[in-house]
Amino acid sequence: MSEELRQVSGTRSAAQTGTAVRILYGIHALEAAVAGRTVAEIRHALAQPLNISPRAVPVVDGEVVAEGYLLQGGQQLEFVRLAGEKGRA
Amino acid sequence: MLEIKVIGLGGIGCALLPPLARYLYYAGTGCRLTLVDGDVFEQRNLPRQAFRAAGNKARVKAEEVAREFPGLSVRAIPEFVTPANVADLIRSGDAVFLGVDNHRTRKVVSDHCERLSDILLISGGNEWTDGNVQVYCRQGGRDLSAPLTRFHPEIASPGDGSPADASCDAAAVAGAPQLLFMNLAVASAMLNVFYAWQQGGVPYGEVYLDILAGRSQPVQRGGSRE
Repeated sequence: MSEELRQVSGTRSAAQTGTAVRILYGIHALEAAVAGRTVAEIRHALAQPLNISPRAVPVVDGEVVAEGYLLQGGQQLEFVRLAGEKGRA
Repeated sequence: MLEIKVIGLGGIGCALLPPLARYLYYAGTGCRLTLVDGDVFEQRNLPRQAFRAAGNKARVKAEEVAREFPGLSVRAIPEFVTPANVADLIRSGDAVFLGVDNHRTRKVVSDHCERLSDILLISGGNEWTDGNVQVYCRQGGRDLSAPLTRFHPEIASPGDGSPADASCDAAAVAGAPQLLFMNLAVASAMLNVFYAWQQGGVPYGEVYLDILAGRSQPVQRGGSRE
């Protein structure tokens, strides 16, 4: 877990608090106790360690959400990595 | 009879076609394989693409498949996919492997598939050492997974051009270096999707690959539509 994410997720484990949110970006997957935090806070915390594109769309449980969306325990937040473009040439 | 369309016979298409044709031939399931590409093989393609003759990619590969697997129904359509011909190329009930190098064509194909009742669309793309495969499946007029555009604004509003009307700039981007092994990884992931679909269902809507990290990550986005 990045130091930035550690700061927003507090010191107790997600299992202890029931605030675990599954966070995905490309091949990266992690769980963190970030319930009550906004998507924007998580993006800011992980932008550098995971190299999240500013254009990556935030999706919670299958729905596109706004940056101000408040996360709840048990949800899955994905920042959708941009699709690879090439393959034919 | 299952109609299988392979659109794009470049790095990914050339990698997935031989095992796909071999699998279909020896599985003995009735199907017809249609290869679609308006481009031609050139010497500069040789580092990543195997071909026995110069010429239109769809025709060259169709001849190779027909020679190696006699009896397997295969045909070539030497055209790029455009809004004008997509309805003729892709029909309800098809399984489509899409290995193109531009988001504009991905959007054309995905938008068309949204209008069909039953479709399996498997789209692969890559950069140098990472890539992704998207799966768009419809059954009985209902989405089982998301179309290529739903979570990907870069595909929904593509900034690139179609190879059918490629400018010099677009051609230069299309010619950007790629890694053979990455094309192979994406092709393999696309074939895995096809097999999972044949076995009853694909439990994810997209899979990400990174060959340097040695990792793949399937993503099931949940919700009512995936």
